[in-house]
Amino acid sequence: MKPPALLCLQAVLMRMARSGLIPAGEHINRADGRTPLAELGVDSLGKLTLLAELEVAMDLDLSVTEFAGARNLGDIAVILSRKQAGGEASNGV
Amino acid sequence: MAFDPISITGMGPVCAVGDDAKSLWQAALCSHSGTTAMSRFQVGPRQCAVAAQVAEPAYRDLDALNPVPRAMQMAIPAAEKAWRDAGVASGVSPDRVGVVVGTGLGMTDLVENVGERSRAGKIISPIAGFRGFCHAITCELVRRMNIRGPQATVSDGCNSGLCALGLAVDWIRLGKADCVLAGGVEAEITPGFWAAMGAARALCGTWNHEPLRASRPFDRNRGGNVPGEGAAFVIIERESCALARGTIPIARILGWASLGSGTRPVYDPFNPVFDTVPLRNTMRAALEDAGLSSDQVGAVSANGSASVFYDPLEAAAIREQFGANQPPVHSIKGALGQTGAVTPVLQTCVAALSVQAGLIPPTVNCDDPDPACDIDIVRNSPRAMNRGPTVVLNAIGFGGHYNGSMVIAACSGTKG
Repeated sequence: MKPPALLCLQAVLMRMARSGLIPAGEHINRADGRTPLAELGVDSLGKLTLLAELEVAMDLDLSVTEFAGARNLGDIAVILSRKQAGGEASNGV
Repeated sequence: MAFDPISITGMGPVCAVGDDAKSLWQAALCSHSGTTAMSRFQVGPRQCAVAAQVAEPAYRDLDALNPVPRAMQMAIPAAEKAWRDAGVASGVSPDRVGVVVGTGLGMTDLVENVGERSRAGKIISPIAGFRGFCHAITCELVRRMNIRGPQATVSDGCNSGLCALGLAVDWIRLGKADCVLAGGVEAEITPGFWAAMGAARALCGTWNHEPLRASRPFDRNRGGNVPGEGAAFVIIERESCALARGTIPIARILGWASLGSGTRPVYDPFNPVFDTVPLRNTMRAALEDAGLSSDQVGAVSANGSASVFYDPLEAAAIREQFGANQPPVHSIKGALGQTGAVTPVLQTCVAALSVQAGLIPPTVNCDDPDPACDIDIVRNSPRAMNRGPTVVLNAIGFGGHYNGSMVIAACSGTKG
């Protein structure tokens, strides 16, 4: 059973794929925590879009600085879980 | 050849803290912030809801039959102020007068509006076909002021106004014009721009609860740029030309530079390139153009846009360029936000008044300087310009692909 944060993350990625922002595909549904973002076609600007979409979907303030180190879906799921338990405000560029 | 410096002889700022040079200078000295709650359209819960908005001319929606873009609403009165201030009409042949306008976004509100009206099946005014171009303001100024010398429109983002002034200086140096109306204008408060810059996480969304304190250059708690709008024009000419018709120069432009940053990765917000060399090169090139050394600089008018990333980068570049003999640094963006093309021209206006008065304005909202911005920041109250009346002003392009610097100095017998 996948954790809720990972399920939400996959749902957002599917929406990004339907919008043409990342390559579409079944591989999003097959992805797990170890799946690298690069394998899903999420580059640096894609990660920024993902951050913004997750903020809206999960009503969280997410940090560019925190996301900088995220390499796979598991890294992001950890950030989301931590934020849901209480976290800091987002920063700009 | 006799010494005949190039000077600023008229100024016309239109910005969030006032619509003349006196208001701008008073606001700068008194730490008056011009950033307020932005209410022209709805934004999302985490988006920036603060802007530097111009009160006069008051904002008005685009008229269906005769749409005047916001940039044009502000640029025309600003240009006319500078023109009157310098007394250009009373003694310079139109063939020897030029105009150059810098704008990053141009008439983006009109373009967005036409797109919406077109998709909704509404009638589009034919005037939109003329006013939708970035050069529309230049055309209007040519028409109104009977300008028959060189003309141009410059667009390189936040550097646009600086490049416009620099181009004016070069035209005069080359003998292509005796007098140039030069300036910048930006009207960023549009839904499209807001959404795009918000998606790039470039705007400050953490100070919506205190709009006056939102733009915080070099401050530990800065949250990014506060965008806005404004226009500012100056008259640039040889001092002999001005004095011949009884106009007293305000300050001198000694040199400038606008340089590309060279090969670098595409802008990556997660791994930005912390490279101080391009900005250092640009400051050095401007000083060389001015014939000055670093120790002759009285103050730096920083880009200081409250950017989380670019503020410490600029601070590092200033430390490296000036070494142990650092001049004091201030930024006008705590008061005026980061308003694109017009900002370097507003910096120029403030720098001109600064060298005239021998005072460096404080940096508004720099309450708790970020340790990563380890430079001598003028805060809380104006400081005397003890190192000499010369200012280097910087403009950093978003994405880091280019930088601009200009050198402003006092002249003798200037206007009070």
